[in-house]
Amino acid sequence: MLIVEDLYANIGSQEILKGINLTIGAGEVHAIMGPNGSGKSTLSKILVGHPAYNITRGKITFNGEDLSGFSPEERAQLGLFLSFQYPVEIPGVTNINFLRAAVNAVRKAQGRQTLDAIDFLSFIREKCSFIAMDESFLYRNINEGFSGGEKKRNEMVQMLALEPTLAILDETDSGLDIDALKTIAEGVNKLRNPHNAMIVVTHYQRLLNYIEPDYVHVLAGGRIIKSGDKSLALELEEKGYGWLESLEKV
Amino acid sequence: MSEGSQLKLDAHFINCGQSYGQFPEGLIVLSLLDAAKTYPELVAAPENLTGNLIYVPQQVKIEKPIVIYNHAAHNHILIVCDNDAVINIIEDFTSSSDDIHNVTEIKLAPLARCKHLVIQRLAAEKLHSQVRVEQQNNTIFESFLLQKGSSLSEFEISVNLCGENAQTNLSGVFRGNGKQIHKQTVNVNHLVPNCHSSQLFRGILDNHAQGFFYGEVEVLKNAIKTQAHQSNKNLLLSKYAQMTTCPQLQIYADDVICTHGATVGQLEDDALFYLQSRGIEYADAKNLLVEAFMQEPITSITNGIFKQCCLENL
Repeated sequence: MLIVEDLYANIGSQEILKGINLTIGAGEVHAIMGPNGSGKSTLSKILVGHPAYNITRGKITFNGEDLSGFSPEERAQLGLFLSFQYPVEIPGVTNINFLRAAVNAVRKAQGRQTLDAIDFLSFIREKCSFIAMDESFLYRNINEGFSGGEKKRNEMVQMLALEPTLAILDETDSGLDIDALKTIAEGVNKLRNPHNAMIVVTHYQRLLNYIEPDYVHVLAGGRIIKSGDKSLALELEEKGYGWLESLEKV
Repeated sequence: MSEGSQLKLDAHFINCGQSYGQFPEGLIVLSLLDAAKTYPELVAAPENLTGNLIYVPQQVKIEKPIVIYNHAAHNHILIVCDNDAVINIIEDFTSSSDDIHNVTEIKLAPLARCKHLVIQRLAAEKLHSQVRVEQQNNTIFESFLLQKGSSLSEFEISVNLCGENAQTNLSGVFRGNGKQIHKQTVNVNHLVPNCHSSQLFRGILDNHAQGFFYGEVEVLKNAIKTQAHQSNKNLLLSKYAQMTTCPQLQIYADDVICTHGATVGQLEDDALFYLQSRGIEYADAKNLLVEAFMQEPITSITNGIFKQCCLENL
């Protein structure tokens, strides 16, 4: 589904990714862990086409398409989704209008039936119920005045509504209490099926108790320095990243 | 809605300069020429002016909007609301062969209320328009100015708050494209104590358009307990667009609450990217953000028909 080959990228004069290789197949969940500043968020943003980063080498292929030259909206229409670490507040645009515009833009591009106002309302209400988001949030401006946890819930509603084939969750667990984490994980698990995949970027093992990964990768200094199964996450929790980084140097 | 077509709403439609006599609800609409004969105390004999007197007698409340088509070269509209009268006026600048000079005078006697909407959707003509408002005690004036047409439009509103507990809310949106120039000059004079005023204007300029906002609030020495607020925010959609904004307060009284502010900015890249990353096309994402930028003055319109009319003509 997703193949990242020898990817180098920078922002301004600062090189952040230094040769990433990653292959993700349908039905798989990959966790990406790593210390602060290792390039996890950069990789997430580059996958969905953030214009601030320059790819200097390597390529990204998604379902057979070379993504270079694809705009962020085209990538979303192909089925890529990023749950932002810091979702943006947009005063003046109501959540429900935004969600409907997004869902219909993606459906239209995919040649699927768009939803009218009434059908959309029942569609989106169901998604809200999956992650226990109060419907009143639909009528507020996008993320305006939302708490950290509410913003993350709103990201999850968007994800469930857009039904992506590859969802990237960038530190969706940060700022969540344990109950919210469980609810959100249950919502995320509703999206899991043999046809789509997920990248879960996180600092902590905790989220991975609820969203079980098939593979765990450790990103440090702009490269994946170790990959393994879910037991690697437990080992990291115990020994810290210093353990791997020192192995690296040897 | 296209330029030149009649606004679609349930209203009394008036062509500037024509006499209509008395409407069933009690409203009186006369040409200035006829008005000078019937109401010499209100109207002096007009000199080469096309215009109307719109007179709302005491306690007459006209909820149905009055739409005036200001299309002569020189218009003069005089709106007089007697004690406790109510009127809702839409001035529609839609087409003309000439440049237009317009003066609208609005006089509100105690307890009168007037809601006022200007839709400026001219094609290529130049426009110079003045709105002069005089408010006695306990009156409410609410005005919204939508400017999007004309190659060069200059709009001036000045309000004199002459009676205590008068309230005036002035708001508007101007949108410039191509090489359009939009100027708005807004003056509010607090002459007596205990009045409220607000100015809330948003400008959106694309291509080589230019915008100017000169807002002034003057609070005279005896006008204590005044509350005055002024805000002008502008969005430049092109690197060639220009905005000049000048929000000014002149306060000679103590014990007042006054605020003012102005900004000139661009669309936020983060917000655009967020919308695009959800599959929304760039042009649609931009439109959503531009609409969001206009929200505040539009939601300040309290008359539902006016609000609808505005949204249809944005």
